[in-house]
Amino acid sequence: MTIYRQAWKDGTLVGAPQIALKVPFAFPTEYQGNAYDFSRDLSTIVYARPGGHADLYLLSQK
Amino acid sequence: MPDPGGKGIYYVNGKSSGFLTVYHVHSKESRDIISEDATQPAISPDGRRVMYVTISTGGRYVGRNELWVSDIDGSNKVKIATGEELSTGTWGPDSSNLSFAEGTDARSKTYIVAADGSGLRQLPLMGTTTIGGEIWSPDQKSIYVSTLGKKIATFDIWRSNPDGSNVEKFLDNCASVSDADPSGRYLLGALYSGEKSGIYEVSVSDKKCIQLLPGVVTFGAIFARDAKSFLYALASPGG
Repeated sequence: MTIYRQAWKDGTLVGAPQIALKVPFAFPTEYQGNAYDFSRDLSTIVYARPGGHADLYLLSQK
Repeated sequence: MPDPGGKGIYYVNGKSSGFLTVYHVHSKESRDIISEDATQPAISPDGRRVMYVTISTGGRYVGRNELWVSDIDGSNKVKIATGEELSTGTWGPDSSNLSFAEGTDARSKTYIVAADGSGLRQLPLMGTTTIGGEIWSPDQKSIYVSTLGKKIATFDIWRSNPDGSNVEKFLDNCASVSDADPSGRYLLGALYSGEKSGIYEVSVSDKKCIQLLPGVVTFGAIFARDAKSFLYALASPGG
């Protein structure tokens, strides 16, 4: 995940986007909708870590 | 599925789980704050609270969600709503109110509620299709709601008072709004798919929809705290 900063003034872009933060690990960006959010001061990121387990069964007749 | 050798049938049974995790950028520390299958986090503008939905995947509660608000460290949880296909919306500028939606079909409902769960009210139906984003004006006197437009992959934008009065179609065929600048003169939004995907700006005074960053596919953009820039996230290769 990389967060970009685009300088802006009075409705107009100023320059090109710059990398503001590269998060040093991976996480899903979508999980039943958006899976993350970050604060306006870029101090905090909250993200979902879905998990679970699934077992495979064989149902047989004797 | 039947066993090809005729020995019986195969089936899968399991249970989903998960966490909501906070990452503190300066200390580089991560901490699980919610030990449930949760998603759609939305951090309040003051950075102190987060709303999210939990997903029930078992028993008779399949398909039901709960919408919660907690402090950013996971404490002081307040259940705001229970329903089907709930989705988090946005926070009011002073972090005291929030919006959320119920349903993803043509008659989705939008709600406004205080962060302590009081004063729940439904906004009137706007448009006839699925809701995108909804945001407050900085003075908290208006709410902008984006609904899927008639043109494919665009959003119409509606405006109303927070009490649901004075609903008006504000703009056709624009983007899903995600934030307003502190002056209230501009809105930010995004189109997530299609040939017109990108980050957009709405000039409120002349009701113009302007594409700022074509081809940038993100959930939305928000203004930085000083409003001299805006921020958006893109998935890096591999996550």
